[in-house]
Amino acid sequence: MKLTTEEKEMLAGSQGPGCQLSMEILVEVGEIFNAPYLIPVRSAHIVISNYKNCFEAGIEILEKFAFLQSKASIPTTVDPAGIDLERWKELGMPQDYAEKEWRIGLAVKKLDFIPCWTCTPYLCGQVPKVGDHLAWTESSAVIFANSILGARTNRETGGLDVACAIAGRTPYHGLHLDENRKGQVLIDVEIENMTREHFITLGYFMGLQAGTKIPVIEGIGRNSPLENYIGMGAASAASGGVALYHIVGITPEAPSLKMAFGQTSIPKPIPFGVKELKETKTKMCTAIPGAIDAVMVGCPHYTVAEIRELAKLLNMQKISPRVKFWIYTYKNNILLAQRLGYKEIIEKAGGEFIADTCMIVSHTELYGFKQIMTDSGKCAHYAPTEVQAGVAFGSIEECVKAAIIGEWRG
Amino acid sequence: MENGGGRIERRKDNVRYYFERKVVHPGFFRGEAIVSRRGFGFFRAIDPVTGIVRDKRNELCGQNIAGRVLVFPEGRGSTSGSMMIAELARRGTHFKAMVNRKTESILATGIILADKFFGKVIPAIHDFEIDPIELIETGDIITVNGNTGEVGVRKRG
Repeated sequence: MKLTTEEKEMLAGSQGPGCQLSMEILVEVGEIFNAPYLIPVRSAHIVISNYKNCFEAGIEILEKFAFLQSKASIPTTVDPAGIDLERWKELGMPQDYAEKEWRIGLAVKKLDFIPCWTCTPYLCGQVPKVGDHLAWTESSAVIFANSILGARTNRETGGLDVACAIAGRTPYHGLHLDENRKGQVLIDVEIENMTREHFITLGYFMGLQAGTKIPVIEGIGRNSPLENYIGMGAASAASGGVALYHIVGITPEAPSLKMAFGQTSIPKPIPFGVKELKETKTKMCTAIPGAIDAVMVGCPHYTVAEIRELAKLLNMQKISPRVKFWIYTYKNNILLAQRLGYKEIIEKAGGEFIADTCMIVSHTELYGFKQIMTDSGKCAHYAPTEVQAGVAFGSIEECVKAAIIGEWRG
Repeated sequence: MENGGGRIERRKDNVRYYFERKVVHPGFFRGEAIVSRRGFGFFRAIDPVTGIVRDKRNELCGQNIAGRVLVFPEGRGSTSGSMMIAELARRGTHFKAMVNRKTESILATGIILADKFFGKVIPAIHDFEIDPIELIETGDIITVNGNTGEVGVRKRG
């Protein structure tokens, strides 16, 4: 691998032992993937942020970097923690879990990472431009940055992400290169007036069809709210391993179908119509019609616009006392919801906000829920193993309806 | 690192295969193979205390990978998988060598972290001309020489 003079010096320890260790990791990974050199990145997003996913090993890795006096050299955000850092006790989280999270929090602070604890860094000031190279983890953020913002990042892995943040570089391979960003699968959407639920179901379908390939989507309008793309991308990154998709006319690199595919010939389209929509929704539900214990929304973290929609639906309503209704979001969004009066409306109806974490990376399995409902495709995919409950997927309107009657009718 | 395709030596009662390919991580280990014919995702798949595979969707479910040569086509699943490999190494319940058809970032990072942070060397080799998944069966004795890029297979029985 070709290194600049500065990089050779970093590798020799010129910027301290933490940077040296980071460079050693980056060079070894780069050589495995035949990366010709390292590319400077504008920002990093870290997935070593909660005990459930990173174990004691992850904490020790962060602490080692902190011990070596390492600091992020680029703006670096962190994924959700494993607890609501303020309300963990009233939410029933054990002290020993909380202590693990505090150790992560302390190391994150020492490393100068921004403790936003969210999977939507692009909604809290970490906004890449078209063509920016990034080192991001969090599959739902990676796919959003690549596909909607036109930035370039691989799905970095836990551990490598920290090295990228400290060294400010990543191996130049994969989705950083033009030739690896062209479409490989074509999906033709036959449904008119796609709702959010339809977008998310399309995302889930796309992941099952494309695996880790790059899908190109034709037939969806250009005037959708951002949340539709956030939810769709998250679902496809979970059900498959999609890291980049093209929507003709929206993805910066895909002004036309031809541009989306580049030199390769355009493949036969896979239809996504009413039949596929129905079949996919069935696949996303593992619950059986009947009582639900909780509705969990905010995967990815709910935006202010989504909180607003929910407040409208819950205004003057009463959620069944048997049902928990939890909204996971970025801390600042709760403040805004409070200022807007949405928080009061939602809480009056029986809903509850949880900051800093989500149903997937916190210890929701401890609650013993048998069945839950969600409006998230990503949550639908992971809930059976992470919440250890049956899951029903539906629109937010369906979620609210089920919460009020305490039952999902299928 | 990239030299050589592979050679097959037939001896009296067993067949020995040697093939040389790309080194993912240096080191040397000889031991018993455990083979998954399908892709292997580490995220939430293993009990780190014992090294036993717990994921019901994984074909090695119920088997122990600790101390063995883990052979599988490619990695899959969440990018936090590297943390599971690091945790196995921290506890000493890790696999001792790895052979893949094609490696990817989760596996490579996990193995590098195991070495750099927990002092556990897991030699790993990938990108063969001969398909290691077709050649190697669970129970075969495998030599993984991550210093030369050579993998040797002594068939079981």
